[in-house]
Amino acid sequence: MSSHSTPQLFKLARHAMGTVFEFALVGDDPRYLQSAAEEAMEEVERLDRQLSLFNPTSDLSRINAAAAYEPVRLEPRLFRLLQRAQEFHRETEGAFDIATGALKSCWGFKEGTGRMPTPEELSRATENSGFHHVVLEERHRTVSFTHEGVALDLGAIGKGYAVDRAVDLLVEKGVESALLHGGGSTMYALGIPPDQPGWKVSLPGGQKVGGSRAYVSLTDRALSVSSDTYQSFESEETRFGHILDPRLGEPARAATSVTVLAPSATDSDALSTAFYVLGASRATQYCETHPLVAAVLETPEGRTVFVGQIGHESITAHSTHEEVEL
Amino acid sequence: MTEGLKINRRDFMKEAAATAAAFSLLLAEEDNARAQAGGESLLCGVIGVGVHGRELLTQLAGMKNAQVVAICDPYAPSIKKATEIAGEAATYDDYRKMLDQEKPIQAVLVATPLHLHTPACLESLKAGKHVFCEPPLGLTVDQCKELAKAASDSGKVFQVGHQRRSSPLYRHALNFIKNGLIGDMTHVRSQWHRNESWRKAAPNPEQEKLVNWRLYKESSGGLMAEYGSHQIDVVNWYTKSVPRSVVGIGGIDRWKDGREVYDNVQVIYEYPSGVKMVYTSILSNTHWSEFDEYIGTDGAIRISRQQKGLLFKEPEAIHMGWEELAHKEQVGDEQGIILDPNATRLVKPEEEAAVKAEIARSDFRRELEDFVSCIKEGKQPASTVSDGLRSSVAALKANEAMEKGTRVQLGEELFTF
Repeated sequence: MSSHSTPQLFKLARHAMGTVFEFALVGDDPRYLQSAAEEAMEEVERLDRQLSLFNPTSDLSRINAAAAYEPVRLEPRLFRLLQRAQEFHRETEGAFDIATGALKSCWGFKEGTGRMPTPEELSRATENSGFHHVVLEERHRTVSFTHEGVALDLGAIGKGYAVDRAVDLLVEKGVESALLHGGGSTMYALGIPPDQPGWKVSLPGGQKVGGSRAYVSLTDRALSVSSDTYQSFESEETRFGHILDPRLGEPARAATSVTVLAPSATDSDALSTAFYVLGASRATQYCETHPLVAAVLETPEGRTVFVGQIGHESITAHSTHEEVEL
Repeated sequence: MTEGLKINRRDFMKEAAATAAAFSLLLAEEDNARAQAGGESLLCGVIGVGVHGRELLTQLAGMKNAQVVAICDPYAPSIKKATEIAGEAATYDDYRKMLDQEKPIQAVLVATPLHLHTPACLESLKAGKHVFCEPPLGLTVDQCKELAKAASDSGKVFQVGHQRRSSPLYRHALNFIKNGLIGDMTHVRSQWHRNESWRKAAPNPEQEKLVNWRLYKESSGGLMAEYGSHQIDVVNWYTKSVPRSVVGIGGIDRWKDGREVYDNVQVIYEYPSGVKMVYTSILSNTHWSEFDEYIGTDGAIRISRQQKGLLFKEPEAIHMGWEELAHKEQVGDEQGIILDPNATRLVKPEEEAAVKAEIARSDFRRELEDFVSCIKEGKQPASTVSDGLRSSVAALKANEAMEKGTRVQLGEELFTF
């Protein structure tokens, strides 16, 4: 890396995974930063091809097409991602579940903004949903389903995983300061920006402190948000959000917005969905045994609940002149 | 179709038949030896594990009948990333060492910088391996011809990584063209457009040329070699011919960073039948990204990102009954008929599962499965070394045309070995 006296900011944005990924990198050499950012984005695009449900020849489509009939052999990185998803499923007692493709389709959330399923559709989809229908066999690195109709959907973990892979690549390239996000809902703050104690990020839930929007200062930490703001429908004056409770087979109602801070974006992405399903009390229990995870939940009653070691003290009133805009 | 095209076609058929016969005899002996050894998985070595080499590793890691036992790359960070995919494979920084020490390897896949394609393939053939090589075959026409001859004489399977040849969609489009759906093909328009620097982050100046080999003429053929060769190959395949001349203009217009290869290439090929292929590749915009468009007197077929095929009929063209039933998509003012290779496939209920799984495979996966099955069953690959020579020469000669600023004739002697 050649050296310049003033730190430079380089930004790159690309469409991937049905949204926009944006990276902001800080360093001495803008050309080097651009190359590193492009390589990291290339990895995100590769993962988009591998994990997309909308690409009929992605690895995920291949799993969904074949795993009910024969074990499907996976490359090691994808197998490990499915194992991680299985761990989240166990740790959250089923609140996080990637084997809910059938439920998501029946509620119309796979491609659209949702619809009310018939009782028969819901019953069939419930029977075909749940990680207990998924068998991961480590020795041969295979995945299989117990029966036809089961489908994986990595929508609640894929973007976080992609952000983490991009961060790994930047770190390997020697980048020490960067902010990366996928669709604004999952981000990772690497190191610190110049002359700042951390990357200042407005809480996506729009929480306020003293009448001003609140922000959190992030360093080597990921943040994800889950809410039903963008994908929901109304039926008989009831709002149905796109985040489903896999245990009940219907839209979750324990929170209206969840922001999670965690050591990795894979973790924050998965846990923001899990906490949305579990609600504040169970999220608190989870954070007691996982001290590096913290969360802010908006309850259906309109209360803001801080969970884990986030503490009110680190949420501060927003001051615009310090904001890093992506 | 012209007489020129028919003559070319006869030559192709004769050559294909003769090669296939010689090939089956040589392979039968080897298959027996392997059957005695009792191996189920094809033992593979991969030379060059940069971005594309790792894509090959990713596909191979998901296959039950292939096992990567060795990987090779002089750039340590690439080896480190590749071991995440092929963790049990032995690692090397020199392919000659790998070939010398990994005798059980049956097949070698070459995804090195372009200037190493020919030597790595030649050494692999000399060591008695089957070879899969990304196109082009070499950095110069002479290198390509030398490799084509060696591969042809070896009796080994030599597959060139033109993955579109393994694509059901491209095969489907070819059937449409053969059946006259677009009338007489007069024109092809292909592009590969990206908005990026094509530059990798080199850790120090000493490793600049190792990491950024694509940017320098001593190791790269630029956009024409990396992307153009793939798209030209389809036109060679569809027309059963090779271009007879090429003109073009290129420039380093956006990325003036010391690179030597063009970031903006605009090329026209002329085929013996009269077909003109217009090829464009740039590193400054992503609009329409990547597509191939085959245009005839009755219609045009457009294949976007190697994934979606659309047929646009001319208003006066004869309309078939099935067209009413086919799925359609509006593109601007025109309505395209979606080309679905599986739309009319008749599947027995007991075969439905297998067919579903078969359809959900990427073209990269298909070409590697083809490679393995060609070795196991003694078949000719969908993309042979002769196909590789044709696309390679066409791509390399476009660079010459752009550099000289003249129309370059592509005589038959360039494509023979």
